[in-house]
Amino acid sequence: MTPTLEEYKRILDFPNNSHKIYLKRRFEDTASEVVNLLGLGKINQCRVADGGFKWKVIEARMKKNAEEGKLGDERYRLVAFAIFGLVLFPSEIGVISLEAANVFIEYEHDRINPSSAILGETMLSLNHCRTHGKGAMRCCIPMLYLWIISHIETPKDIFNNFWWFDLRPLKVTIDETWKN
Amino acid sequence: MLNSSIQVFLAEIMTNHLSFQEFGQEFELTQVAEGKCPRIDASRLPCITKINHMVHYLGKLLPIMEYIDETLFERRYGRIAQLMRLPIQAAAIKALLNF
Repeated sequence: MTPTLEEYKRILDFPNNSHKIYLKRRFEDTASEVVNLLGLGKINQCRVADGGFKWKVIEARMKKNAEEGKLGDERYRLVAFAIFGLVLFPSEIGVISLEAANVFIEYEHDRINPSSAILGETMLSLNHCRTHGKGAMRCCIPMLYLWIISHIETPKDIFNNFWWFDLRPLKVTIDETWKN
Repeated sequence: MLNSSIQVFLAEIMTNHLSFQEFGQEFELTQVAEGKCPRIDASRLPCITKINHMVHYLGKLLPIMEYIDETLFERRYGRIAQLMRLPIQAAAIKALLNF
């Protein structure tokens, strides 16, 4: 599992990697923390009944920022929050889960690398789908696909056209370690 | 369970001088009996039928990225924005699920 975690970290390439592992939510009220961080206004308007955030509210705010040409950190934070909620930690359709919001807050405050959380979610999702034989995979599918592809050795160049496909962290590490 | 069965077999290797090939065969038979063998005919796990791996709302998120300076974004959040543009082959995900 550890090599896989290192591969995930290397592919995602989060800056200021402090090697802190994401463990558990520390913030008592994640929702209000997110609302303050993103400047979303009233909590009740942007949350669904069971706790997650409405994608439509986030989308409307992002569009408004883009139209107004707004600058500053908030613009980047909103897009990053949307990617965390839709791509890295997907939940129900149209909802950004509190878990995704919590990982985002941890990253914003302490720069805690979310790679371990992404991998953990992926393992749980794979296990669920394998056990039941069907279902929706609620994990970071693009990352999983990238990981699979990065382990395929082929003489053709088709897998080496993209910058990330040159990264075979495990192979590079082994070559460097066992060279002598 | 797995550790205890390995210990039993290791003890057998030590006492009865089992070869590693024999050890492997016996260990596989135990796994089959417990229903944990990855072989399709021996496994009790159901076949993979329908898996939904869609990433929703990407079509709405991607246009907004045009208004963002991606270099600055990557400095702050790594390569997460580039993950969105990755075309995914469903067959690869489905193949992995069988292991």
